Amino acid sequence: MSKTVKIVLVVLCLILAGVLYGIREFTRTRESTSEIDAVALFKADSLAQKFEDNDSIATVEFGGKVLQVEGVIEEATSDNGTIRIRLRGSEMSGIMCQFEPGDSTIIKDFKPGATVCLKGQCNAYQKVEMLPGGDLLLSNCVLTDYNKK
Amino acid sequence: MKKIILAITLLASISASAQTKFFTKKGKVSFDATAANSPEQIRAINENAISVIDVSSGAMEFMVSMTAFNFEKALMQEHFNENYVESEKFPKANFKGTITNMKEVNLAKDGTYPVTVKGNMTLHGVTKEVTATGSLTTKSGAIVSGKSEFKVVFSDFKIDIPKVVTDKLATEGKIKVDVNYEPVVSK
Repeated sequence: MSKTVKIVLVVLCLILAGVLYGIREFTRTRESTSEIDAVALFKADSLAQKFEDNDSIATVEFGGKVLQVEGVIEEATSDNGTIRIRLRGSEMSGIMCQFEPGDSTIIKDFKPGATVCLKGQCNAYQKVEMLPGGDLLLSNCVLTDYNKK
Repeated sequence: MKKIILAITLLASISASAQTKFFTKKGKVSFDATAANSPEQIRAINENAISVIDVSSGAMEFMVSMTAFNFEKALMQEHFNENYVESEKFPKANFKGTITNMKEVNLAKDGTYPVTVKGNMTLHGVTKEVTATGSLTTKSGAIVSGKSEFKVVFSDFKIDIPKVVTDKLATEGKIKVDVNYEPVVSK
């Protein structure tokens, strides 16, 4: 095989690899939270308090990252297949957890007062002036442990 | 027995009429920024918006977390958060305003009423006065839902659209708001 043919083959391979990488990146969908390691583990009350104390600093530290949170279910709802639970937090704040789309039957198991451990993507501390308190929003949550007691 | 039923009915109606604030923490806010001839759809939805309406004053508030907008493709979502709205620096967008024709919304009569909302929207760290039209639906003395569609010009909020993507990404986004309200219960 001549040197020129080898160079052409290498260039073609590089182009093909680039195209494949581009297609993979372009069509890539969001990775499931179950595949991502949490950067920190919190009790719901201490996490809520952190955001209640200074949500700007806490958002810079944890915004967009996956956190593991353990807390007590205050409320569980399902709206058109979207499951949310609110974990009891500090006095004025809670943790609102929206689950990944998927098995909507888990809602039947969620009982207020039960302890749950989950992972979710940390978003902003959601608060408006017209309502007291606020909620830290965790999205794309997945269960890691559930104690029905 | 009749007196008891009458008393319960009276209490229920007093409670409904005394209710002045309605809220949600599950509001849907979606946007579509697909350019006219784009081969792909550039749109996202956030199903965790907070909104409150005070019917006594017509005051209204919205708040959305920017990182909670979900796109079909992960790359689009990353570009949206990192390059366009800079979610790390500006994690929230909000609106504070007033329903200018709140008096025309008759809570005593079930129906859907057209409304105009005027106020300040903050997005990407820029606050700008906006006016939008929409509707509020009432049922049994309560606001049960609200809808609105309006446009946001990205340059008004210092969101730059590079020329290389103008064939795909429009210079303005169509915002759609769809919210189910429930009464604020004092604890």
